[in-house]
Amino acid sequence: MKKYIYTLLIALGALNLSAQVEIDRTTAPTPGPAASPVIGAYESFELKNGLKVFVVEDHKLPRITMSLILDRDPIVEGEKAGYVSIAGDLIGAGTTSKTKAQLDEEVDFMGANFGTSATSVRVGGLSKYTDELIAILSDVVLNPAFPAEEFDKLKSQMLSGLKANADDVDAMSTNLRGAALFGTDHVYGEVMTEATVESVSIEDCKQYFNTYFRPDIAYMVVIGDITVKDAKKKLNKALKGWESAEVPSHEYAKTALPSAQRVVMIDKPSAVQSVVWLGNVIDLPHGHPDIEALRVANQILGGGMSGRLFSNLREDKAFTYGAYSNFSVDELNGTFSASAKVRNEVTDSAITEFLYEINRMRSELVSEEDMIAAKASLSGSFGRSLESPASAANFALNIARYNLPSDYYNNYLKRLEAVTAEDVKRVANLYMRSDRMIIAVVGKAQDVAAGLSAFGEIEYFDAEGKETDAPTFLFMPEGVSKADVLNKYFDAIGGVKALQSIEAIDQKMELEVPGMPGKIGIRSAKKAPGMLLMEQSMQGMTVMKQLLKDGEGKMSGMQGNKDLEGAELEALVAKAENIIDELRWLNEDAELVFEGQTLVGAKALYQMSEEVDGSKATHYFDVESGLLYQSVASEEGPEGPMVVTTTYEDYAEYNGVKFPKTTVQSVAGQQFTITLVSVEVNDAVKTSIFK
Amino acid sequence: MKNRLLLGAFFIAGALNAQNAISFEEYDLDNGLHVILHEDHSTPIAAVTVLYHVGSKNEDPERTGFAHFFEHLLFEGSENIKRGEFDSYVTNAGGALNANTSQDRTFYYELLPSNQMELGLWLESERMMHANIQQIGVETQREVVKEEKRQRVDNQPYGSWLENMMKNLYSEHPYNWVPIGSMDHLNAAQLEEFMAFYKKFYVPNNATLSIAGDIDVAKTKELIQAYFGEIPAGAPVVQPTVKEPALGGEKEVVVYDNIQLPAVMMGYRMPPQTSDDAYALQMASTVLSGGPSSRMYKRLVDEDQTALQVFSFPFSLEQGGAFITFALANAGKSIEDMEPALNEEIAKLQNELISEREFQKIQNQMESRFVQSNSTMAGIAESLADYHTYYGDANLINTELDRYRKVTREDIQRVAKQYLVNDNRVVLNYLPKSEEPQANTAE
Repeated sequence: MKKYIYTLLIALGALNLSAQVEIDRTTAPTPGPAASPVIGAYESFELKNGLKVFVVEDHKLPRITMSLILDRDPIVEGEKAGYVSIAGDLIGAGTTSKTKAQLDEEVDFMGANFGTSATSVRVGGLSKYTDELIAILSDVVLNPAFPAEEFDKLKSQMLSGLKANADDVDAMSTNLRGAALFGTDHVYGEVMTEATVESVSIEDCKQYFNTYFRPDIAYMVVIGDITVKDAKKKLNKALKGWESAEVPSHEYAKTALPSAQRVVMIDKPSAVQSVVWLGNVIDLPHGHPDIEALRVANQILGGGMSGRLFSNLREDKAFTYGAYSNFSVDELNGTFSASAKVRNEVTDSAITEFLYEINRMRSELVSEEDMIAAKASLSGSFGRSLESPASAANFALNIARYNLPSDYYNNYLKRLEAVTAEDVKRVANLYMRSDRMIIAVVGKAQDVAAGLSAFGEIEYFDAEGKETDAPTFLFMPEGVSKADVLNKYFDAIGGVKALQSIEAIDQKMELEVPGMPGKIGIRSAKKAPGMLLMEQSMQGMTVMKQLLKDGEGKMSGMQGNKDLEGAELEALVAKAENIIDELRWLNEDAELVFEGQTLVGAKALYQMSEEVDGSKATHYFDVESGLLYQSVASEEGPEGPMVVTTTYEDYAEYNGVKFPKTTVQSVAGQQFTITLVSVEVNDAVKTSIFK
Repeated sequence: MKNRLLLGAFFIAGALNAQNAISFEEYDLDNGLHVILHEDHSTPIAAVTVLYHVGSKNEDPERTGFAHFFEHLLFEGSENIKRGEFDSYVTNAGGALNANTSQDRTFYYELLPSNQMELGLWLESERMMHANIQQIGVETQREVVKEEKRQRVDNQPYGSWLENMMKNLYSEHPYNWVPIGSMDHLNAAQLEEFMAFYKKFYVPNNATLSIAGDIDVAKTKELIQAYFGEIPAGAPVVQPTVKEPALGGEKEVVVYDNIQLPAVMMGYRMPPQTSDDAYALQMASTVLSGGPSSRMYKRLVDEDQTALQVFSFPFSLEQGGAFITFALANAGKSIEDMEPALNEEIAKLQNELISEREFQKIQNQMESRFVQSNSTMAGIAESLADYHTYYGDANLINTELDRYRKVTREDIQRVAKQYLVNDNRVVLNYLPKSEEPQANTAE
């Protein structure tokens, strides 16, 4: 009747239909009253053997899932890393009455799902098969057979899986974070390798099962088209024979933050993107009162498409397809992290933006607008999660596992609402530790290492989380020759002509030796033809002196005087030949080989090797400035060959030619700094000093 | 008709489905927008979705990647939604949103608390009516899409396989390329071209608005009329009608990738997804790799242990697609170790009828999958839109199982013989880069 009148009114034009649905598309519509989300009901009971059961009835679809879940402490696997995981798979690979093939066939015939892991056995399917599904679950729990051939198969699959992961940047990043945050001997940092998997035995798996698969630490979660009464009856019958036994517990110390920010990297030369991850351990167990505040903080920072990270790194800078942050709640140690995959060339810029946004959370109060939006988003996502009946079951399980108040989840929205902007800033400072964060990058070091070293010295790891040497990065740059490098170098210090016009030079330097009081004075002078002076002095006293003049070489000092002859004299003569040493590289017989372009620290360098009298030196020229940056020479020392690394810094001009004002030499772990005090050339260098 | 009656009597499960039937209402607005509404008050949420019948197959071969690029562009805002605010409206309302693009369609959705359903209508109508397409958005999203490609394809082991498969399987048809498209094409595209694409495809008569959840249907209809009714219809969208010549012989392609384990992918051209044969091929793939007791899985992974993983699936598309089998070698095993077994299993399907028991098993698997498939509002809204767009029958959401039940054992054998033949396939061999011949004198 009502409908009839309505139609009539329309026909008469008495009702302006659009009046009811007037819209204003210039602004977002105002929402109607919000319905408060209702958490589905569950019931729980305990079997005689201690197994705790949760049932969520849901008759919407004729389906059911049953999950047996173990609640045990984490286990250190050590040299057998991987055994717990293999054990988890092996449990489902055959029972005393059924082979794996028979189990598979039975499950598939029902169109059902079945799976096991180290801490779970799960079955699911149409509810008309409930009895059959329970039978499979209990058979697996009560009578696993651990067939040897299935064990061998699983082991070889695990080894193949490791090979598949070896090129997977996400798997590499996981190993890297674990190693950097916790260390590879920690329960959360352990890395499975070929060696550890190889050493797993079938006995390890049986032992694991017998120890941990006990009703004492187990929960059974039933969701779907079944009544509580039926579930109780059926499960009791099926699992009453499961024997109780005490299960060992394991305690671990909490992991501390590093004393400062660290940069860790796995070099993947084929990478076209860097997996960038910044994170730190946090101490935030379930039920902790900071959880909701951190949830809000995380939502604002990087919770989704509206997060600051997404807006900045994707929508503003277009560095990435997506940038997010996250945190985990864990009884031992959770983590806070922010991550993105970015193209190689913006890797360091992306990290700068990550740190900027994290620091902003720590230093500024978020706006009221941000607070409202984040809370709305979080409560909306909570509301959506309730569509799945599994949510009610998960809540019940968490309440039991972590000893939470029974209304913990019912009060979630209330706790969320109570969070203030001050809380957000406080937890950002407490849990988002940009001051002591691990910056972990999996990518092409060749392209990104230079930029990365701005955040600290890079620690390199291999794909398995073991520390390793920095890669060499050597490659042959296109269109660059040895002559180009030398020309660029000589041009940079003043040009070949200017260098060749120097006929005499007198350099005075000061050497500082760590741990020694005072400085050593060094004087090095040359003059054509064939004059040379090398002198070392302390507090005005000559310690050692070498002189070449008129073809005669002399050495004097605290150990006495002697005339130089033979090889020693020849070496001195050779040294005097070029007033500027480096001009020797222009000689046709110079044994100089251009080896390519490389990277040392943050510097792109050309690498050139030189053989002088059978000993080898490598010289590095700065790609950008052309200047000689470093020379590494192996020299004969008193205890065999030593590597001498000489780094040239602070080039300054003296009479039109550039010399490094600072020279740092390191030998056998010791470092000496030589400072250039004065340089005189040509007429200013008197012949009289060579005596 | 007779067939259907018989089936109805045969399967008790049929009654079960009826009990859980998904009711919905559908109609067209005057401008051609198709509307589908499903009401369900179990949870106070609503999924608002719009499916545009445009995918990569509608693209100009010189401008591949456009449809997917558009999906990105259409989050940039509209006349009434400022740049960068599209997402915030939804997240701030406690909702979630996203979109995806395939060869055949572009699909946008908002999952909202049901009191915010109207927000979804506003946003989607703005997107359809006057999206904001500007140079700055184009520039930004171009870089973002490049990152998406690096993340999903270039930096991902085996990530290029679908692109390589389709490129070789189709030469004339636009299935030749994949939705991510060519970065060069995106670089070359001008703003006007984007505008033209929007005008051509983002019209109400090329879209389906599908809503599922805690809604009041009568009220929702009024709102839909108010938000979408004023959007003018566009010219009818014509789907491509490219005739692809027969493949005319097996193609074998080697790809060297940053991987350690070799993999082989075999792709056979398929009939359109709406055809009876596509259903038979779906059943065939279940025989081959549906679950651990399936033929290929059991043989290669469990018995021969040549493969770490094997699966087959019909990559069903509106105008064809590819029936794919994919095998990843165990460590120390090669493609040569796996390939004969894969071929033998295909041959067996062609030469022998599957057993009654196996037939029953795959029917049970199809039933289980079907019964459990429509458990979320988002899933229901999407399925309704898909069924309407591709099959012209949204009610397939309730009846599709019948199409599987129509497939006989003989059909499975027949389609195996007809489609899964060497002349109709491309074989991709993925090998580690370390095995790539160094001295390449061929070119």
